[in-house]
Amino acid sequence: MIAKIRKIATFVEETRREMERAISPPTRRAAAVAVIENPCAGRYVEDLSELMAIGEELGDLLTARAVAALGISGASAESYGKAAAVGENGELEHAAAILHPKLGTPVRRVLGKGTALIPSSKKRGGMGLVLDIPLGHKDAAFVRSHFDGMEVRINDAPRANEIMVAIAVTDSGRPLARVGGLTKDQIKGEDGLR
Amino acid sequence: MAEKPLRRAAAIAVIRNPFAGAYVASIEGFMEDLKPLGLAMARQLIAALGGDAKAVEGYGKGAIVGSAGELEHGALWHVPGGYAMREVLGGAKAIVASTKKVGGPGTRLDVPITHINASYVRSHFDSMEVGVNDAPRADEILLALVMTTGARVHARVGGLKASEIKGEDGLR
Repeated sequence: MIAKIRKIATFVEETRREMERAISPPTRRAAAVAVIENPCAGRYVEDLSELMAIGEELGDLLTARAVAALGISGASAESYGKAAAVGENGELEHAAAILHPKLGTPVRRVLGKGTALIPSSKKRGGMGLVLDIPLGHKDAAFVRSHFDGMEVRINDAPRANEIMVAIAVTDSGRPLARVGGLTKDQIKGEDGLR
Repeated sequence: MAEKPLRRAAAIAVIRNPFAGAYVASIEGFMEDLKPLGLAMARQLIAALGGDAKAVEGYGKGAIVGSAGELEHGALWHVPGGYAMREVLGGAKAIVASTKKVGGPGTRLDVPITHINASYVRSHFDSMEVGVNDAPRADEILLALVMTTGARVHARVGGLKASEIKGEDGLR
């Protein structure tokens, strides 16, 4: 493993009631977050390929952790998202290098499919920042019931020379979804959009 | 130095949540009601970025629902928020990246950002953190739209470039 991981945190959220109504089965989502050393912190590094390779490793590791936390098969996952937060000695571009070039392929390998774009966000900040991971259906970006987001926070991360990398996976859409639009049983699954 | 400074702007409205406090089955009609507000916010954004819609290259949207509301109430922003930005930008092709949550006053939200015409343009994947210290109150919803004028500063991780957009499917 190239990534120097300080800690991994896994969050599972299960919604059983919403607006005094039972949600059955509960909607569930999990996020796995790795706190890693930023090998490019503190100076300008032109070639970010080391971070890209770290992204590839974490794509596999964190997706597997999130799916395991839900206790489901990868193929049963319904939506996904990714995000990264760079500590103050790094560049926003370091988050991009981890998230975009190579992280997606292993995510899709673990989940069996994933024709839709993986929604993402990134930021720079200090310890205890709140990171929002946007969520969208993994096979059709326009499935309206699955537009969502999951918040994660680790009180002691990211330190100045660290990066927080997060992947979220769900087995369901929002509880009580009812604003119309494309539904998951209407997915054609050809272009990743509908 | 960045060749040209990147600018990101957020328009935020804090509105009363008409569905706060109790379960309301039929809420879809409110999306239509939100369209004028969306348009006004989108126009303000363009003004904040210098007044030229053609300068806008990235966008995103988000919502924070106050504690007496449901996550689903935040989903009401998808249609009017997306419609409004497309309308004022003259027909952007890509899906508008989004996120939502329920939270108290001062809650922060990372609004995801992607290129307006092709979701896979790698240099434009970004986000902007927004929040208002006294919102949303329990019976309010905070609505956000974000626009940007370009790629991340020092973008250099490859992938599809804005200059390579075919612009047919909103993806590439």
